[in-house]
Amino acid sequence: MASGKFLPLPYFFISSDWKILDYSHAASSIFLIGDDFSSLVDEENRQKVSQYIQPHLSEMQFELNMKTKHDPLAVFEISVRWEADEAHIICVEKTKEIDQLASDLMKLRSRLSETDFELLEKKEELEDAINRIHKLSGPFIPLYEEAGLVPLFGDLQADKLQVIEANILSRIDEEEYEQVFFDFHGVGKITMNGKEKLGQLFEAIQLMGTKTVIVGLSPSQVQGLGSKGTLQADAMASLQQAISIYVKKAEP
Amino acid sequence: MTEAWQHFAAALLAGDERQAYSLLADDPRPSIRVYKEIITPAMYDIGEKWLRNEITVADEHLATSVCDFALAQYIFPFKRINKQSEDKAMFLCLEEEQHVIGSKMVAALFEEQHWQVRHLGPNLPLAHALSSAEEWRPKVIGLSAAIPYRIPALKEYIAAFEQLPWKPKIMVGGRVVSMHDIRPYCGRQTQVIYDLDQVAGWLNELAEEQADGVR
Repeated sequence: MASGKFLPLPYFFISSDWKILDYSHAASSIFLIGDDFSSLVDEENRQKVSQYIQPHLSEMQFELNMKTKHDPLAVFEISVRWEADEAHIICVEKTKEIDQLASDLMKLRSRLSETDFELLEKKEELEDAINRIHKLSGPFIPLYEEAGLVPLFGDLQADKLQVIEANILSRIDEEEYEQVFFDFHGVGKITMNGKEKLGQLFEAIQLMGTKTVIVGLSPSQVQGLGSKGTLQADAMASLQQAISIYVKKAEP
Repeated sequence: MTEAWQHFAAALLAGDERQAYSLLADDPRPSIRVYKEIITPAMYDIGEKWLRNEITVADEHLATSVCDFALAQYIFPFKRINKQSEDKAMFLCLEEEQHVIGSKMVAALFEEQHWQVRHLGPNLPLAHALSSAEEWRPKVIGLSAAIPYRIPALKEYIAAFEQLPWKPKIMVGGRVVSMHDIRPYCGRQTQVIYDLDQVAGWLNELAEEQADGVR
């Protein structure tokens, strides 16, 4: 057969014990060529050479890190073909493509993580904002020494009431109020969970020895409230009425 | 039985970053064991798969990227609260080195102890690393090297960082330290890191000292 000397790619012709019998000019311009094919790779890659360059594997392709004149760990795609006890090997360098891929992946990776973390941060900010809105939907306003007012706003769901409850209970605990007025005039819908939570809130306040006065509940909001029969609260139609009654009582 | 790390390795090779992240996030083990028992064996396995001709170098790069991303998400909850911390640690891989996951796991341990952490990434030339260090003045500088032929470069990096005037602590780790004894190149402020437990131990000791008010 014609010599491989002038093949435009690194080419080796080797014996079954990996002795280099011949090589192309393209090979000698890239590699420092010794006697043995495995001298072209470092120790770790020698394992791959001895495993995959074997006469019983008549045709084989695999990747190998090889030592070139410029790069001690260049990536090559190796194609081996055996003819009896001798093999033809062509090495195609992939280092450039791999480096390009690695740097593209790096860029993508940092962009992905940036966007992802920005999203996560925004989500946390949003949660903080919602929490704050919830808190402002049921502020505690001290009216006079013994009474406080909680005007409720918007639809009431359990998670909103959870936030409101924590605030109210700590205020009652600090100041020992006798009555707390809950004004429902600004409330839209109350969800089922919301009603349950509301019942629990009133009970908790009563357990602390404070009276709850409910003002301005509409008929649709009343259904399902206090269904367990544990709710003890005075109810009034308007805030004006409620305050005037209790203020009179409070006067000596 | 298929181990968690095998599922994790499969997710990395499939490029499935969601699956990879949930395998970490849903695992009940403490984080250091997640690093040691899931991420580390999965990454070793991927290296061996290349040796067995089952995957290509390109697959390895993809797997590393996915792993990096999943790990970054896993440690994210710690990251936010550390911005005010006075303790600063910087990590980097030597120039021409792409093996980034090991030092990312070490960096994660620092994040968990509420250090401010910067990982400058793979393939970092010494000049860049030095100017970053001078600007940010970290207390700890972590160097990672995996490829034995880079030991002369590692020597150079260590020597340069040991010259920094505020005497940062230097930690050297990566695959080379288990293959070659590099202690002769290390001065008194440099410590060779063989595994994650050693880092965790050092961090705990330091935290205890600080809690006791010992300087």
